[in-house]
Amino acid sequence: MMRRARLAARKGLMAMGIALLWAALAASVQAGETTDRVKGELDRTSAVVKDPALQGTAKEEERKARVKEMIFRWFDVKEMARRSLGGNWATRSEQERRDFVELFGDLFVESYTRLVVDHLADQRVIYLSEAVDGQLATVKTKFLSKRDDPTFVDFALFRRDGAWAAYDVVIDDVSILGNYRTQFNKIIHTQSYEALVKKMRLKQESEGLGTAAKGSQ
Amino acid sequence: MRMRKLMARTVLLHPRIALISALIVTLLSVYVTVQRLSFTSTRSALAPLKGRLAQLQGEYRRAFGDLDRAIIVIQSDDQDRAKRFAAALARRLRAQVPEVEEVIDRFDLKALEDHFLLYLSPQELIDLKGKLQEHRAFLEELSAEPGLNRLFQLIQREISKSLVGHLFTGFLEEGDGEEQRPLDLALLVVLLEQIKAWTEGPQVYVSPWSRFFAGIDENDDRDGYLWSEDKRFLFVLATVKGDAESFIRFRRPIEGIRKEIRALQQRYPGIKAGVTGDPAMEYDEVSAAQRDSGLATVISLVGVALLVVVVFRGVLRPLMGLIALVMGVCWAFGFAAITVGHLSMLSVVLAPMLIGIGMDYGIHLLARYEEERGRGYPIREALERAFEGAGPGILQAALTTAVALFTLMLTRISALRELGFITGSGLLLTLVSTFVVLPPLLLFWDRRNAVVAVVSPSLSLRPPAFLEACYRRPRTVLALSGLATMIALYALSSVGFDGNILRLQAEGTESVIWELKIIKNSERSTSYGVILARTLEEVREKTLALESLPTISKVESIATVMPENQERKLPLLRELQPVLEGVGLEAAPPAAVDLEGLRDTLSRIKAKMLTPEEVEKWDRKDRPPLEMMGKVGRLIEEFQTLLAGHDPEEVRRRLSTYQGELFHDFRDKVALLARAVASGPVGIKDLPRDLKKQFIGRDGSYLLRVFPRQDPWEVASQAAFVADMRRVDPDAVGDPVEGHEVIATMKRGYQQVGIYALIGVAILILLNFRDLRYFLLAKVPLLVGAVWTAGLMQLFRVKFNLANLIIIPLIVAPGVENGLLIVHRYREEAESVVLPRSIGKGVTLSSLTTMVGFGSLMTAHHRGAFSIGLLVTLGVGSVLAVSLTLLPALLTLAAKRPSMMKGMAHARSEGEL
Repeated sequence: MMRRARLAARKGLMAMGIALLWAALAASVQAGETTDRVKGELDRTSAVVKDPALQGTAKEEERKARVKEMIFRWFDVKEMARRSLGGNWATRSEQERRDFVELFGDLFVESYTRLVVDHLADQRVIYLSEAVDGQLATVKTKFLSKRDDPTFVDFALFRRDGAWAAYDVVIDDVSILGNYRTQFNKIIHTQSYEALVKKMRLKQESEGLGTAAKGSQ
Repeated sequence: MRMRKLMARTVLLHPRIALISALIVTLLSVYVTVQRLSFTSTRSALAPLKGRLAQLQGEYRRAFGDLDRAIIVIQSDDQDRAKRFAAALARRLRAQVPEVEEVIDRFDLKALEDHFLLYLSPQELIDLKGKLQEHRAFLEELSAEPGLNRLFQLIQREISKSLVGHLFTGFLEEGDGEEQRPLDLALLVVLLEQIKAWTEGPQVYVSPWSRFFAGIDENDDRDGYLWSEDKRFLFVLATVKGDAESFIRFRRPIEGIRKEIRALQQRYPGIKAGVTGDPAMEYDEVSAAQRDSGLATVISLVGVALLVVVVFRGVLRPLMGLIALVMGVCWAFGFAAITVGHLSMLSVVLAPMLIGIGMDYGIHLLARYEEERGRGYPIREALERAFEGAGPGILQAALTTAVALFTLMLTRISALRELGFITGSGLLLTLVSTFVVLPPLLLFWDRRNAVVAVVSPSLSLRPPAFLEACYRRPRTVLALSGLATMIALYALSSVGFDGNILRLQAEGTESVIWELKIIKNSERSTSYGVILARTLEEVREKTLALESLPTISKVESIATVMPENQERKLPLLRELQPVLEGVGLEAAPPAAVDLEGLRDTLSRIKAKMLTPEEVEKWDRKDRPPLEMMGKVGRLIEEFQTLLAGHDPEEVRRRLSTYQGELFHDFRDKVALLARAVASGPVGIKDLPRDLKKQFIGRDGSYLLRVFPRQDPWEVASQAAFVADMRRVDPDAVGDPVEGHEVIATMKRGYQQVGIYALIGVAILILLNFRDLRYFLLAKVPLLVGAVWTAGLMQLFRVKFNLANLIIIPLIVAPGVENGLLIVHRYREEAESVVLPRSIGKGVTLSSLTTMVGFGSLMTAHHRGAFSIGLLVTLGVGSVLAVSLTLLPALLTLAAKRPSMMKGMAHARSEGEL
């Protein structure tokens, strides 16, 4: 009887160990995946930005359009829109949410594209570390200018339909999503949600935007 | 005959007694003059007025004191250096110049420090609240974790936030009327400059926090320094004590101040400084006048002496005349010292005038004496005959001139009344000295030497040869003179008046230069209006009314020092309180300086500094400050290079010292902000004592200092300024008001003097001649000479001013004298001789001596004195010209008997002579 008990305990420990090993292996595979995901997106985007065939003022719109397409595909703008409204999301109707996602997506992608196109071309990226916590992950990178001046950029990802999608970028400790949330809250609090939407729509129109969010919808 | 008898029984009977008495009086006069006579400036002399204005001025002085305050002006582009200079100068003046009773280089506003937020405008308070809310997290985190590394990390984060915000959500701030705050890198730039400097070596700590905490600015008005609005000039006020016993009252304090300024300027090269204000202007004017009058007196004496010597072709007789004259001048000064006690810029003409005019009496007496001696009369009889013949004319001329000068006593200006009294009396005294001293001297000398001047009677009756051609054509002379008179009359209307007292001063006078600088480049001047109010509310109402007027640039009062709109601002302050909660004031020591961490953080900051190309692509309205970003980038690179080249331990130590100062200062600023936010309203009781003293009188009245926008010394702008002030308060006082009244009163006074003098002189001449024809003829040199003078003024671009208006009574002397003497002689010769040589010589010489006497003033640096010299020279010259040309022409035409000259000419042609 004693022998059976010892055997059972040994099996249990082995199982736990295997499970732990498996989890560690799985995590390391995932961790590697997140960095690869980010790297892949950045490389693809960089390739477009640096493509000799897309240089010059005449090709600027095409270059931007292709970058935007990639960003739309990679970022989960719906998730971002939801998080940016914070507690205000719950009080909005379905239609309002859909409209907001479209607005937010257009404006965010437009701004982020500008950031990528105007700055990415001159920067090289060093991948520092990554951390995976269940469905969420963070990939830390360092962008270096031509003068080797660093800008630390962290990509926040979450797992969506088996793939990692980005939902926030933290540039030198400043979260883009956090910035949106603060500013949206301020407008909603001092004026109204409608006023916020109005401003966003005006901006959307002035930028000549207006198609629905791509990719992640 | 009476004069002859009088002289025969007194002076000529007891010549020794006469001379000794004269000498004793002279010595006494000199003694009294040295002991008692002082000098007062033009401003002080013109100041005392009667009536309501004097009463108001008195009330103001009783309430606020009658301080003699010099104003030291410091000019520098570097405000901190200017303040250090001012502080150092104040210390030196207190220690080294005992005649400086009080120095104010700044007001101690420590008591108001906690109320500094109330001095911001409501909008500035709202902006401050916005800024504090925006950076609240920054302040809280910095308070919790003080340290240089943390500070730069937080700044780095703020920059990131700003850039991210602008990129992604900047559009949310557009179009709402909200002010878009551009990225403010000022604090970062200052911090970088400071850590760079401290890395290189120990420094004097200078607070960088004013860039962050709006309103805590050590360089603004609340540091208590007396700045001009544009901070170009810093003022230091010095109350000085004058020496009433001294001729130049403010010599010691002003020279003392200037000496200290010069000494200090060697340690502060590039700083310009000078002294102005009433005491300095008085000192400059009086000392220049003292130099000028001394020189002018010597020149006039020497010039007159030479002239007389040349004309009389001898030294001794003219010398006797000069001795009599000098004695008379001494008597005049002694008399002035006993009666009035002081001279002013106006009465400084006393010496040249007495010399120029007083000499005439001796000349006429001497000329007539020589003529009588030439006829063969013995000495005593010649003297008696000279008195009989020339005496009445001389006496009449002296009395008439004295009366003309005494008419100045009818004006309201005490300086003019004094002038009239001193000069009129002085002239009579020189007449007395001439009559008392000259005859005994001639008696003694000629007895010893038995000199007889033989002058042919007929020759003595001939006019000077060069004028004979004129006298042969009287109608031509009349026509030409008429034309000149018409032209001069036309020019008379264009002769202007310049009432600016500053322009009377010598060129390059330091106090005037600085006063003009202040007027031109700031909103102040040393001359300002004063209005009193009974309540604070009245102060505010009047300030508001005054500041809306076009001629007023600035109003200072107790209200200036107290915050405005406190009722509106106090609630705004309370709104700041919650924002500051959480901003800790604990004295946690700053963390150790981590050089590597600092280097990394600065690299991250540098990465965010956009390049010009990146800024070009910025499409928001608020473009990033490219120049500042470039500067930040450069400073970081320079600092990093320095780090590489210095010992890290030494750098860490220096930066730790800097860090300690920085955060000690930060805590002080935050604490001050917290106290200011919790402070109550500012009342009068909260103001510093020396500030209250400036603006609250002993009787509880409030003072408003009103500064003019234009030059307060110019008549037109002064009049407009005074009119505007009186619109708000008819009882306004102060220098410009006084000046305005004085100028108006003086102009009226001189006009009255002119009229009275003409009337007085006319009565005297009429009484003397008792003949209308002679009366009219005797007036010609004065009236026509005056008109020709006005024409010459226009030609020489000379304007009337407060100094040279004195010509109005002065021109009466030569005008009347010449007319009287010539017409007297004309009547004496029964109209048979127009201008005998002796009279011609006498008239010419007396005019020339007057011209030389006053002309010596043209060596003066004081422009007022110079203009007196020029104008009197022109005036007397004009009168002489009329006396030698027009008057003889008129006399020729008016003669009842044909001229003896015509008879002689006929006789010559017939070969009789």
